[in-house]
Amino acid sequence: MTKPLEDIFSETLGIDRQRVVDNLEYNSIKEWDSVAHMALIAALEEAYDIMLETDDVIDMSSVGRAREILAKYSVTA
Amino acid sequence: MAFWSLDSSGSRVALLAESGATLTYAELARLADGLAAHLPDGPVRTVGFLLFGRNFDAVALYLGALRSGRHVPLLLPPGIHPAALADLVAKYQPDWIATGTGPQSACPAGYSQQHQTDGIAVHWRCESSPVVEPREPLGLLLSTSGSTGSQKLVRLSYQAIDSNSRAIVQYLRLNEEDRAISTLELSYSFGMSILNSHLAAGASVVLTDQTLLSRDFWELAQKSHITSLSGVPSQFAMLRRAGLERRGMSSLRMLTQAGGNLSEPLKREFKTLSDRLGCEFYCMYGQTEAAPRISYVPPARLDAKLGSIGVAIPGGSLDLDTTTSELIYRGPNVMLGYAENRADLAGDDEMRGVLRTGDIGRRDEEGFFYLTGRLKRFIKLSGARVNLDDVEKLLVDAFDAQLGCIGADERLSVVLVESSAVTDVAIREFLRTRCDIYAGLVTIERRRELPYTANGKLDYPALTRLML
Repeated sequence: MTKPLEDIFSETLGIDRQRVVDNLEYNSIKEWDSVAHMALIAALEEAYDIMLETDDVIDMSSVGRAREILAKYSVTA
Repeated sequence: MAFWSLDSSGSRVALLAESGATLTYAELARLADGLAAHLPDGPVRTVGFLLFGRNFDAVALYLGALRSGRHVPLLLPPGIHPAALADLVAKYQPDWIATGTGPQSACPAGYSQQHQTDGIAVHWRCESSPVVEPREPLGLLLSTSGSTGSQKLVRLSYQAIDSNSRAIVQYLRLNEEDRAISTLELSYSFGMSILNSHLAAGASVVLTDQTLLSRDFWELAQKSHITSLSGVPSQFAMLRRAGLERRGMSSLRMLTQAGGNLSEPLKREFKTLSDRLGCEFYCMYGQTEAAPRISYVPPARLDAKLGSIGVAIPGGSLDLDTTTSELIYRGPNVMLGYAENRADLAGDDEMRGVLRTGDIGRRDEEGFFYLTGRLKRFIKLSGARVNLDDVEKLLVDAFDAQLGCIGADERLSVVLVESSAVTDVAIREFLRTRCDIYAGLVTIERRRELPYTANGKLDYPALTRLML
């Protein structure tokens, strides 16, 4: 059972689950700044047991994009 | 001539925006003087707050203030907490405040808007009661720690920022072909020094709010042919995560790092990468109190001097206190002193070019310096100075709890007495919203009792030992 993406975002960024929608963008809210982005990348890698490529790290510009990127790693979350 | 004279060949580009728009030196000078004309009339010297966004207008107003010789700006982060801003306004009663123009940038209470452009809005103080005039040679004010409630400011003379910018041009060998990009806030002394030094060299700076972890940043950096990348330790961790070598930065000639100690493994990694990319990697040390740069490691010596803060910048000198081994810096860039209220802005040069850094160090046989400890109670979180006493006071006042704050760079520790009802969540939330401190950098612990000294103050060394 893979951990839902919304949970990872919600916990790592410290925001309510309702705020984690596909079009929530990196750097659009105080809670998702570059320091938080680093923690998010680490949390995603740990939760799904993957290693994200640098191109994917810098392309993860929204929750929706994160979902698409994770699909490339065969993660459905 | 000082960097704010913007004298370099007028048609050379000084600033670039994300949109691709550019501003030449001549245009920047005109914009600067034009905006400064909207500040209160002379001949009195004024103090103003500039919420320093990364846009043409904010940079122009900063330079316009310096060029006027009578408007002394305090540089503040555009995202400053409203409560922190209000405290500063109360303490310093600025004659003017320049904010951004976004939805969050309301006109501060007691001020009325005089002028607005795309990038900034200038507000004047309504009340006309007399206030102390900032005295020459004070030219600029910087915050020591924006987000933790300290209203203590650093007073810098024109000579301090001018001389430091020239020294930087010299030791980095900056020339007019250089181009930096704003990876750091311009209100932060390190970020400001990048702007100052590039203007001093007739070089240029790309202004953006994009970050190292976004594709847009790298596209802009590559398209603009930047020649340098600068950051604090946490940003070097980001650079690694972003895969610098895959970003196509063919024009890059140097990486510069300051704002705290970069771990040796990361230093080695970036030294190796720099060599591979044909870049120079500068590890540097400084303090806001020195406008701000103090020392650097010549890149060719980095392999042998990995843990060192290097040698003094041109025009400065480093020494160790014979009794305490405190690092002492002497140079024309040392501040005049601190300020804690408006009256202090008329103060004298208390330092006389000598700065006791608060860091303890040692010197090797070749004259390279190393830091071995810190005398003052502060740490660096993502490059920003966080005063432990200030954070502790904010927490104690907010929660009426018995606790102490200790820590090291990139780690703040809050230690509570076991019987306290305050939750971890509440503390992290408070630190995040009030102090802008990321939860991941905070550890919270509880102990049955906290150690106190004979005069009733928390015994920090004992507390630190307790946590080991």
